[in-house]
Amino acid sequence: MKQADIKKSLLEELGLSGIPKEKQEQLVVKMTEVLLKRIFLETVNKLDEKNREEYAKMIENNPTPEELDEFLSSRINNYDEMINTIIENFKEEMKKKTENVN
Amino acid sequence: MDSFETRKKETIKKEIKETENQKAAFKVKDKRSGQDYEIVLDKSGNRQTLNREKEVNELENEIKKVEKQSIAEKLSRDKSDLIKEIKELENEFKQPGIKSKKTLIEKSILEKEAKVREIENQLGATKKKKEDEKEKKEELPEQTMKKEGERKQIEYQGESLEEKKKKIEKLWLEVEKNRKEYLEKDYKNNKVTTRLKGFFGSFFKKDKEGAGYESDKDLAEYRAHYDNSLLEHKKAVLDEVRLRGASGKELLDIAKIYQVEANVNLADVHDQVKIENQEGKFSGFIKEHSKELVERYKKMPLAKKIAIGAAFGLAGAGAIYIGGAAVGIAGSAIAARRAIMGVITGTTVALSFEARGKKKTAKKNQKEMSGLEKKMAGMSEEEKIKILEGFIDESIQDEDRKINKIKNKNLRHLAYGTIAGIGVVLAPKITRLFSEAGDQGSSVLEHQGGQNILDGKPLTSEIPEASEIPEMPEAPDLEEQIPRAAMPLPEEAELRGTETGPEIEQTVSESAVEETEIPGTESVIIEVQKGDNLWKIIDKQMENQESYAGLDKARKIYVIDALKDKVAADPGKFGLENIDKLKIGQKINLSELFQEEQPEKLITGVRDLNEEQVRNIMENNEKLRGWINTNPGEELTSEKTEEILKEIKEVKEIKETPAVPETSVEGNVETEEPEIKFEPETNEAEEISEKPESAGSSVDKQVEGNIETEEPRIEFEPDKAEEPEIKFEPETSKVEPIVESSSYIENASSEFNFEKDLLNMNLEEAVNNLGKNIIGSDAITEGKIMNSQKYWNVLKNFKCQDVLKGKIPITPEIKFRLARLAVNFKEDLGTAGLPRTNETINTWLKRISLAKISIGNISSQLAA
Repeated sequence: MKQADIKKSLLEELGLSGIPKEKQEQLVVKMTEVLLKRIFLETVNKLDEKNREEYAKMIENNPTPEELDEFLSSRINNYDEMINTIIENFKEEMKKKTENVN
Repeated sequence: MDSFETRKKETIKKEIKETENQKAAFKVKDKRSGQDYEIVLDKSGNRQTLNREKEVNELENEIKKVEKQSIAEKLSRDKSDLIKEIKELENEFKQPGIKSKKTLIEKSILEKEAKVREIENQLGATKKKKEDEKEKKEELPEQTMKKEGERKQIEYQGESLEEKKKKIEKLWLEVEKNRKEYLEKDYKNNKVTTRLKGFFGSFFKKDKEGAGYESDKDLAEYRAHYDNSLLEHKKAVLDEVRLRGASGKELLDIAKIYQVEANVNLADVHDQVKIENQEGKFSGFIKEHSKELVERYKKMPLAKKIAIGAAFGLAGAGAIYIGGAAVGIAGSAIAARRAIMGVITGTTVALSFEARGKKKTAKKNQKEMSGLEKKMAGMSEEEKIKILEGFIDESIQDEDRKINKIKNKNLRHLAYGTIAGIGVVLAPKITRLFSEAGDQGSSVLEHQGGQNILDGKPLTSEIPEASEIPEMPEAPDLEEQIPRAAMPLPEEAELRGTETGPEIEQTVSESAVEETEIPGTESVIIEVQKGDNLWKIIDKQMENQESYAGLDKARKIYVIDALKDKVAADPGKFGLENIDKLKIGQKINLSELFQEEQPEKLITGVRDLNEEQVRNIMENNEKLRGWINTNPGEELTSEKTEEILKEIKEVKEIKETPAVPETSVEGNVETEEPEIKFEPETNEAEEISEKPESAGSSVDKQVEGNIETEEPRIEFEPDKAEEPEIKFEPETSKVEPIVESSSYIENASSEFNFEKDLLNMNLEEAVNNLGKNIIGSDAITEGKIMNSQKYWNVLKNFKCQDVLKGKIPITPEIKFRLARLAVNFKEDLGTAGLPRTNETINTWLKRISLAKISIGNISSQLAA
């Protein structure tokens, strides 16, 4: 997955950059919620039991984003790739069927 | 003169006085009424009794009546004129190119409608109106209903745009609520434990019995609520658009938003379900923290929320600053990673982004008209709205399919986790069961199966084309969370039955679990117990499958018999010498029997047996029972059964001949119920169109080819499951089904005049007729509602896009199938049972309406 693949805004890809701003915001917020949950779930599922325990303890101790990032990047192979894939798949999901309308 | 005149005058006065005296003398009073009466003499000298007061009152009433009638007539004329004007305005309203007049006309309609009501009030005609309506309904029910519908429409359009928007929002909330309730209910019904109970049959039989139907009925109700709320929402959206006079581009935007929102919501539901069904030690942690994560995000200021969305590449943005440091461009993995770390840790995320290029892009988008938009520019308002409606309908149908997919997928995940957890590795078989989630009358699975019934496909195949359904990103399967130690080694996996259950040895390789739905590695070895015979053994095994357990007796007989015939065809393959001579303790290896896809196909096909076929099965059963009663002590062998049923067999055309009838076991016949062999009648309507493996129905094959099973399903023949799809060949499809179906249609039609009439109708007429039959039904039974949902789903799944893409040709057979649906509706809803309710009728009317829309879309698009 290339980073360039996810640089284009999904709203643009969906041809929705012309719709009212309020509606755009609603869609982005809702989609972001879904992505946050999905990335979190995939992340936890990628960890083995030992690392999950470590992760759970870490979360309780209020880590910094950098600490958490370092932890996950070191425990999950190609973490960036994983995130990119999730995002890209999500975007593809969203694009389904709308191409007929464009 | 004076004296003469004076005398004359006096004389007259005298006469008057006498007359008065005379009159006075005859004046009497009625003591009861208090009214005065006069008794006078007429010209002939006869006496008459007069009541002047009454006469006056009567005259006055008469005058009033005349006056009132005159006013009423005038007002009625006014009313008629106004109604006429309204109709004219409405007609004008429908004509293209009057967009500018639209609001004016609508206003005028409303004003005139108000006047009509005012007139009605003046007349004090509430009662009269009711009477009139009653009379009209009796005479012209359809016209009256139509008129009521028109009035309702106008009243609805009387709402302001703001009110309509609020209504749409409210309805959408309703859709979301109903969707959630429906899926929750579905998952509740399909808990792993319940499924396992179904699988292990006799162990849990007591628990299973009696629970299924109720829960499925409930589920169907939840589904109906959800479907209805979607329809209501769609209607509100279209009404709002109509009133607003939206442009072509706006209509397309609405369609896109509708689709995207549906996609987002479904993705959300999918993930939420996944989260809520997590198993294992960390399930609580995952649930809790995912919830916290979202709540934390929700509480953020809008700008930050959008910035995080931009980091994920959802919204356009330039540089993003997370945690105070510039981390790159929106949509980069780094930005996304930082964003999620910030939300997970709850760290204040300082985000900002530039709307670089945003305005430019927006302008570009505004300038560029899509091809469809260009086409729409030349269309009337109604034509545009019809296109929008088509898109929304597709979204709704697409959502249906995606929901089914989500359900099945997650159930499969659950299956693996639980299987491994209890130390039994039966993944392929259980997964197959799970793939039938909701198949016990659930409208969803019926929905899923609807198209398959139409196409003669097994219910386990998914309807939607792979290309049309977004592939949900797969989370690591739950079995990955299960410690490997919990999984038995392939050759060791074994489950011993209880005292009452059959002893089953089943093994499957670990790789089979990991490879999810790849079947074919389990074994089914049965040790013959006292009282067993092949029939009972197969029955017991099949009872473990819920799809089988839910069948009625006749259909079970059919399935068992067909499977038994497989064994009879080559007993050695199953470790038997003679299927009629089983020995206690003997082991029978039925692995191959159950690894083939035949059982599933049989179960699917057998659901479509018609009443006559079912009756035949039961009659044959009775015939065999009669033989046993009249031949006590004599063994009912396969050959004997063949002989008994020979006569019947000869007159039937059999495509899939169950060769051997029910057998008994040597020396241990505890003939509970003699089972019989069944032979389907192939000249029945359903046979060609709806049964799997029906010979020669190329339409079936074509459609089957169009249905791509996106995920590998558990099938009994792995090779077959992996076969490339059969592509649709328009050339052949246009010939074969028509030729074949014509005689078929004739045969079937000869039995049903109603059906024959339907054959002459076009699709829309057929559907209309279908609706009429439902409305005209006297009663609806619960079971019939469930069945009718299946028919409804067939209609609903009659996909416009497939027709448009040439994947489903509009052949006489397709028409016939629709007609057949109508007949089924009629049959199902037409007999005694629960009383018809307005609610039920309304629900069906809505569904018919949607069916009409689908058919309408097909027709209009084909015409275009």
